[in-house]
Amino acid sequence: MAKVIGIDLGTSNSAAAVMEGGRPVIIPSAEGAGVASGKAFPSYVAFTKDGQKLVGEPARRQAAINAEGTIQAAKRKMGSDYKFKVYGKEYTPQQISAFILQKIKQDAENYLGDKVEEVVITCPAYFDDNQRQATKDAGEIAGLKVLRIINEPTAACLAYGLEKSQKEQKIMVFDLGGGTLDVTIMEMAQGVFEVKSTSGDTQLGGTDMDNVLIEYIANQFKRDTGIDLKNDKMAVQRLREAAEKAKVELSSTLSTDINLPFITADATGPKHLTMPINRAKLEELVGPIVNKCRHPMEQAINDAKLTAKEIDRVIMVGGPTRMPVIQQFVEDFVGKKIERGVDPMECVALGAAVQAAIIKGDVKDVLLLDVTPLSLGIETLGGVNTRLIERNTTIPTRKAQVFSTAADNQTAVTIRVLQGERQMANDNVALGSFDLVGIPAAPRGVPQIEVAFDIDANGIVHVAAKDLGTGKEQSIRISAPKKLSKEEIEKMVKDAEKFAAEDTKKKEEVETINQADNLAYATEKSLKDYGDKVSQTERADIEAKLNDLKTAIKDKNVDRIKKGMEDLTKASHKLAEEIYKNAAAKQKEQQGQAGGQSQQANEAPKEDAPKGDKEDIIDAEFKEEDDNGKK
Amino acid sequence: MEENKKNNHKAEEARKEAKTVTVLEADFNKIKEQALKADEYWDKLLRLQADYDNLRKRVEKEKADFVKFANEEIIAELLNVLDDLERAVDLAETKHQDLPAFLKGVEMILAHLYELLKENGIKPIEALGKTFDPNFHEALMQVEDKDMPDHTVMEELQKGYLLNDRVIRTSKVKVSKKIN
Repeated sequence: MAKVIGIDLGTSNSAAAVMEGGRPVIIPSAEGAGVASGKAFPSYVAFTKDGQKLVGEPARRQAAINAEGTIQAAKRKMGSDYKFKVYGKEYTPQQISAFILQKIKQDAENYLGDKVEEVVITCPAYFDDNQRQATKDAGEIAGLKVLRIINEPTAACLAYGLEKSQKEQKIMVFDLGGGTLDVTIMEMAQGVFEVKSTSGDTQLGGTDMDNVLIEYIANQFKRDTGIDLKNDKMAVQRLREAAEKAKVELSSTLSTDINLPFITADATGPKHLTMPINRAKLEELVGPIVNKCRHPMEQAINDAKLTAKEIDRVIMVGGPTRMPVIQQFVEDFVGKKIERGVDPMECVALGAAVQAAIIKGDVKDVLLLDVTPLSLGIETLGGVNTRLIERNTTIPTRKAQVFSTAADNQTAVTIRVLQGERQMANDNVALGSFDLVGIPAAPRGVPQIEVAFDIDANGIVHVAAKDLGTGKEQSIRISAPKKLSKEEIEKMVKDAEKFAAEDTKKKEEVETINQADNLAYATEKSLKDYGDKVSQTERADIEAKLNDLKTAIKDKNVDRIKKGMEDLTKASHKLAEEIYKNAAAKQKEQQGQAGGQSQQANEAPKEDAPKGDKEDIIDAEFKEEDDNGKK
Repeated sequence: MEENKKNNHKAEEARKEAKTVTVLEADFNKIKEQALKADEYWDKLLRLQADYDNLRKRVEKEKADFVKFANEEIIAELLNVLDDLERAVDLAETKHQDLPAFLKGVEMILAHLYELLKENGIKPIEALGKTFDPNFHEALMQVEDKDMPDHTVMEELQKGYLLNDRVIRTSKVKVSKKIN
């Protein structure tokens, strides 16, 4: 079946996306990623003197030597009577846009290996009927059936899945591109978006920010060396690249260095440009530009007859909105956190693809697939949170794992269901708990208890524990896993990062204790079975070391436990030898031939304790029933 | 979920308004069975879709991990270049007088680096003296010239490169403009 694609036909860059397996993905332009603006391509069309037509990157690359044959920002003329005159020929803005759409069609067909005939195209919310019709015409000229023209801010909201919300929402879309700012206030009810107001600034964008940064660096260099780099085209080009790189880096780090060796030379020799720049400096430089964003936001909110407080969601569109200073500015102005998780450069095209799929009805329901915002797990021995379903897993989903008991003759286990990212159980949210009783008495580590998590499409969590030996089963249904607000979820994820080192240390302590406990248990068992095979003094030594370890475990002194384990292991070497000898002898007996080389006989407990080395049993065990009392 | 509630509500309304239809018990059972099947398939479809999505996430993660170490070999080789450059800088700091030997050393490092890149699929884009081609070249400036044919690359301001025949950086060039 032919795919329907969504197209972001932008003033400076264009991109397309398609639904793949129920989620939108960007279609890479044929020039490949890594060139200029990633997967999008510049909205340039050019005609060379010899009558060749160029679209996208190649058109931009020759713009400097073919100004009269190169057309950019045709979108600004859409819906007007303007004609582009190139080498004696005339083109309407629709025709120019059609060339861009044709390239998209071709790239998409190459990528998908299938015909592309139907599309959804986006346009600014302020486009009038004429401009919308012109956009549609452009599609028809390109040989495409335009299923719908949708507003860019609506597409951005769709990319974030806002249409799925049952609640009425007031949304601000802040779209800061290379050269324009568009602010749109929308109201969403029952999946339908209505534009309340639009405002913006057609002369404000990321390019201005690059320019002030370049200006600053060039001025500093001039002050230091007396050389004006702005007269040297190649130097400016390198400077521009370095400035853009610095700008991107300063979005995630606090300082960076601009290093341009051999940027120029004068009579005294080569000159290098090295300059540290920090985020504070960049923010100071772009401050006046950032401040210009205030008025359009005020105006849009006023025109919608709202106050900033009434805005429920803030969506950011466009590359420059990746800058923390912009995000902070908008967040401070509205008093709300911005939505995150979708690339602001891609979200309009992605949303258009979502709209295309909704119109075709092929993915309408599947689109409702949600993800678990936080991990789900159970508490295991020593208060550790063992995660079964990781955060961001798409639901419905099921995951099962086999656990065992922590003590001999333990006949019941408590399953405590946890939600959260922290490594220790008590730092997470407890969703509920239940007991599985009636487990036949057996040495610890032997019973196999399968714990299965199942989250259905409605987000309802079913947790079942089943004793694989007896088939006994017990389960719990958690209908509303604590509805946490976005802020709470964010805080939990952040906390997990913040306390990662601390938590890991705690968990390691618990693991050491568990390991020591296993060793003590195994040694005790070996002593009981084979104690008579070693000398009295050896036996006394092992028992003394064993007692030391047990007290260390009781005191929860990790250093002493580690030392105790080492000592005990050393002391029990003789015992282990006897066990192996015994096992080998047994084997020989059984096989009736000289085959003693198989030392690791099955029935010989290994020195390093039964580490749950049975298939499917992981090294995590439930707390003993009794332990639960203190929670 | 809300949607389900809505659906239930709708179903109830419909029940109130609908006419009663008589069907044979066998048919009714068949319909019921089919409805159950439909539910089962629907659930399976959703789970399959979610599985696909989770698989995609896993593949993405694996790809990211792979990329992290895929460059290991070339980076190990680059460390040698780094060593050589460090040696060169150390030597230059001692302010020795044998500049030609020093230059020769730097040239050797360059040749090594170039060889290394070549082995990894990097090829320089030819530009100088060629006709300007926007598929490989980017024009930064144009200079009028009487003798050169129009649109000839007169100067290569920054070299361009291909990685396995794909442009990873265009040549930044100065192009001629024929004047008569």
